[in-house]
Amino acid sequence: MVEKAASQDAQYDKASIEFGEAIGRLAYAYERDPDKRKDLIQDIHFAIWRSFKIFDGRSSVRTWVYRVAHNTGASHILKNKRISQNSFLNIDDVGEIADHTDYVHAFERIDQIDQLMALIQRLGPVDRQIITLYLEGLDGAAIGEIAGLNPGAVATKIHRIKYKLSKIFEKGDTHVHRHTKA
Amino acid sequence: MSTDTQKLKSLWQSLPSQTVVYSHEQMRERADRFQAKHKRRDAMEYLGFAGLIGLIGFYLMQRADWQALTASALAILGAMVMFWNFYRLAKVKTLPTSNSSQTTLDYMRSELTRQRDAAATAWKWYILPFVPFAIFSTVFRWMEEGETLTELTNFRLVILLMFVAFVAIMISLLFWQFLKAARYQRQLDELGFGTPG
Repeated sequence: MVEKAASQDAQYDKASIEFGEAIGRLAYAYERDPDKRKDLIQDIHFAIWRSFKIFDGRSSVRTWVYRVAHNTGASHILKNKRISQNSFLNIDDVGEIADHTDYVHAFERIDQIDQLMALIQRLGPVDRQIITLYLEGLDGAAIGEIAGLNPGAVATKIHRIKYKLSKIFEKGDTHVHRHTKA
Repeated sequence: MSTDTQKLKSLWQSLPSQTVVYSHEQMRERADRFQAKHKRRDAMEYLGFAGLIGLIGFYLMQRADWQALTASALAILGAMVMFWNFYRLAKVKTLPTSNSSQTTLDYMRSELTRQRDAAATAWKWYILPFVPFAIFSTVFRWMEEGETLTELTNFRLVILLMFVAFVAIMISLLFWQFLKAARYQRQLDELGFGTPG
């Protein structure tokens, strides 16, 4: 019993270090409000910690962690149907900007992130999971294993979502040109 | 497209995020709070049930005829069926992490199916058990008020209004639950395109 608890704790520690940042990003896809997002991150960590009690090693730790994390996110959107649309990213949320004087690009970047988030948050839970895993850099087979889809279905979905996402950059480029001309 | 993809990936990966590791004590405290919350909720339900039995007992002390006994028995039976369902459904909800590691598609399917079925059958578990009591009480009270059954006295009007209010509330609840069930079904249909891997 004690051994099992110790193993659960150790597995959680390892997973939270390895996937902590990805979990933080994943939470953006499910909750826009910063305070609620913090709560969601804690919910995800709690779900992962609890899940290691029954982890049997039949899937990789990565697959397991992403499944639990995304399922917690999916439950979050099922519970909170009305996701806040009034909260937007501010300049501090965007991370380091190479050239601090380049405000046009800084705001452009905020705008792109806002659009990316708005699009992701409009997707259904499965599509939302697929695109965030894709943006995290996972391949089709890994995404399929986590989401429960065959690689062909994943590829089709990624293709469709990528097309929509690419529009963000098309619009972004237009904005940059307009700012530059002005 | 691939340049855009790289841009999108770098945009996504530039989102501010830091590794958070919660202590094991925090996790255990949270697990304890979770258990305590469920125990509190169970206790409230048992208290509610005890309160109802108390009320019925008080009513029986006022008048212990066969009509009152029958109405009380029907109310107790209805409450027992309802509380048994509370208990049964609460038990399903508090199952440990049994399905949290399913594939998202399976998880969504099982969650939506559970919620759809709960909404579609809520009337059966929470409304239907009280219908015999409501009908019996109304008819019995109506008949108790004099020999002419068609005469509408003030008391009968109150009884009639109460019954109409009961039916109206039941219909509204039913309608609301069916709308919920339909929404979950739509979400399930939207998931339908996914082919299990």
